[in-house]
Amino acid sequence: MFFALAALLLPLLSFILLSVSGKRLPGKGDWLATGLTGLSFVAALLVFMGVFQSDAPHTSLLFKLEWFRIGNTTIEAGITLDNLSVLMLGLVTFISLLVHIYSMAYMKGDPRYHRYWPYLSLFVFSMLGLVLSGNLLITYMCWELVGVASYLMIGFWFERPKAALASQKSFIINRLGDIGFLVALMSLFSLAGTFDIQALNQQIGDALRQAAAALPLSDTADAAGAISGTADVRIYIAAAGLTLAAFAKSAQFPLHTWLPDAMEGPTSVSSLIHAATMVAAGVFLLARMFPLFPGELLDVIAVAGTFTAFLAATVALVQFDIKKVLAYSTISQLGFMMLGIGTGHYEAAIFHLVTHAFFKCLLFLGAGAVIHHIHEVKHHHNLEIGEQDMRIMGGLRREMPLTFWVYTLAAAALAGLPFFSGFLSKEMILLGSFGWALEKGGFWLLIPLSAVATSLLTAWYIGRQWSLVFMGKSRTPALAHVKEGNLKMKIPMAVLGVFTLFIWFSLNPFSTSDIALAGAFSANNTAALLQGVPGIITWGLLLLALVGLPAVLYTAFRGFSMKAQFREKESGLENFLSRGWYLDPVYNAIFVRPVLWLGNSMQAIDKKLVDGFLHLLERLVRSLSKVAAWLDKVIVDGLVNAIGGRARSLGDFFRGFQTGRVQQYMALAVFGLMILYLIKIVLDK
Amino acid sequence: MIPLSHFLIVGALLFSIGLYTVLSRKNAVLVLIGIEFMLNAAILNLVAFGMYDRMDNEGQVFAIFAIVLAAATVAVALAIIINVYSQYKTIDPDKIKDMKY
Repeated sequence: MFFALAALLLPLLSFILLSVSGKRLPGKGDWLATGLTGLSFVAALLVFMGVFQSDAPHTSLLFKLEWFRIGNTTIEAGITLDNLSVLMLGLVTFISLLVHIYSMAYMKGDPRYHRYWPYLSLFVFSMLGLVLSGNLLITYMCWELVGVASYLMIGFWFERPKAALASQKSFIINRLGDIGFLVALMSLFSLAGTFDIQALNQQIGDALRQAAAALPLSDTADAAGAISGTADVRIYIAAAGLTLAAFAKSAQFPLHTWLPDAMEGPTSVSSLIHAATMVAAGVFLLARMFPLFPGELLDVIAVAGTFTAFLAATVALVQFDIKKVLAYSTISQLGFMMLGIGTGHYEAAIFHLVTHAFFKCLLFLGAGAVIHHIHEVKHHHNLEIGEQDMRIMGGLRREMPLTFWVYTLAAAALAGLPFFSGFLSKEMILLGSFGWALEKGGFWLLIPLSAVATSLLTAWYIGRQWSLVFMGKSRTPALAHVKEGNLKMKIPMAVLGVFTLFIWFSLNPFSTSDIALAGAFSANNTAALLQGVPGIITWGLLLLALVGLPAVLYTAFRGFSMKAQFREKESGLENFLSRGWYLDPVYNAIFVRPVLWLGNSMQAIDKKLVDGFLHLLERLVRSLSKVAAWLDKVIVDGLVNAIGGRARSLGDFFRGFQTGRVQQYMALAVFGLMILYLIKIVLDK
Repeated sequence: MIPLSHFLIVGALLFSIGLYTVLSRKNAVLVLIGIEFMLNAAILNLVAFGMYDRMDNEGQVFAIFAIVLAAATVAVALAIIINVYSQYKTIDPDKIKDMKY
């Protein structure tokens, strides 16, 4: 209990300390952030050991505090410790620790080095809060914090316009999903009157199961009638809102376009986002709230996930940016996880999340190492090359042997080769989806089949990347002297490389039936669920993995490692794919431009109509005041001025007598005296 | 005995001449002389009227006072004129216009 709190609060402490005094600390605080994350990882490990049980479906340990009270409703803040949260806790802290260590070397010399660490700590803290929270309201708060942290990190190099735009894009698209979360929160609260995740899952999940049991799904007319009860509709709204939120965070179609752009952030951050924090949050949320989801919505999730996986894999085929390939690969793999959730095997999705976290983190760290060293070479030789462009690389296996080997391991895991972790989790999802599709029958079989096709594409694009970067001869002579990074970059990669192997997850490299990590979540035994799949499919998939994937990989290797020249012009299809199916322009046309147009027309209305009215008023008041001013000037001032003027002219008249000449004065006096005498004489008579 | 009116006519003539001199001369010293004329006219009148006051001779006494006062006044006036001259390098009253305002 204490350790769980410690694991949660240490990154927060690090965030506060570093943001207050990061600049003044020696080493700009990197040791503090790394150290506290390390402590957090140790605490998380202790919690994980204590709570995680491989056989129990859900072991929960709750810790609740009254947070606030509105009327009769008490909102409790608490920590939930069950298999799911402690697994994520361990995963997030572990990956974060490695990324922290790696970043100390990767970010060295950045002018904003001291600001990198509090951001990273905030990211880790918010993700841990999201994972541990027992209250959906707090989950939502941490969900938002993750969005803020990602905004800060993607826009870390905000002086680059592309990075600033990318951070805005990711933030806005994630806000779109957050609206879904908010709607879900409101409808769930109106249904159950609580934000407690356990209570929600139990109450609503039970209601949903009862409704499903009462209605045979085939009888659609009756089902529609029964579902129209208000409570059930709210369940649908809530589930749809959560799905929207998860799709935005986990970058699923149609909200995935922010993730490739998010590559503008530092590579170490991309690694964290793609492995353990942001995009994992969506899958985690769906798994956490899994009992809430009605069957129809799960079907939608499965279809959308499969489509996303396929779409992103096709786009990844033709990318030349080393990070963009990985970004689209993440979208594709998240699509697989969504397929797992949609087919009801959320334990498989979480299992894939874990294995994917290790190998995708490793892929990004490897790519980061390559970029880092090419960047140095570029500055050293003043070369005009794109440091992330795979077309200038090639043959790096000799210069960066460790990176090459761990990258190979991670690529094999991503491709799903046997003996690697990716094989187990992907196999589990595929088998589960086959079982699900066979149960439904008909066109639903297209879903697992296209997922299989997507996994072949996965092998192709990662094989292509691997060959372009590491195999063949160097396409840029200066890159022949690239040196591998220092220990701070090598150690995390080596550690992650170890975790791409199968042995950590299952003793049998070919079978997915006895995996402890997956069995720990679902009440249904995974093996029992997989029994619905005929042996031919199981063996077929295994055969495909053993023969098909290596064949694809070899073809990709042959195709790209030898190729020294690249066509200047791409074909139409390549263009279509490399631009991400033109989704960004389409979104621009459908959403961005209308919104801008709306904004502009609103502005026009504001300017013409509202301002016009104001201007009219203004003119009225102005002319009124003009009349008043005229009155004031002419009548009032006129009167005063007239009196003043008279006084002045009188004064002027008398002043005229004052010439300053003594004799004149005297003459005047004499004449005046004479006049007075004359008057006196006249009066006397 | 010369009748009083003759004295008064001479005094009036003297006064008028003095007044004219005061108003018309371009020399401050002559203006002073004009003033003396006027003063003497007044003193003449005083003395003439004083003939009818045999007991106290007040007219004569006033005349002596007036003559002393006139002498003092002229002394002051001459001092003023000298100062004016040192200030303006002229003693033409027409050219001294600073008594305005």
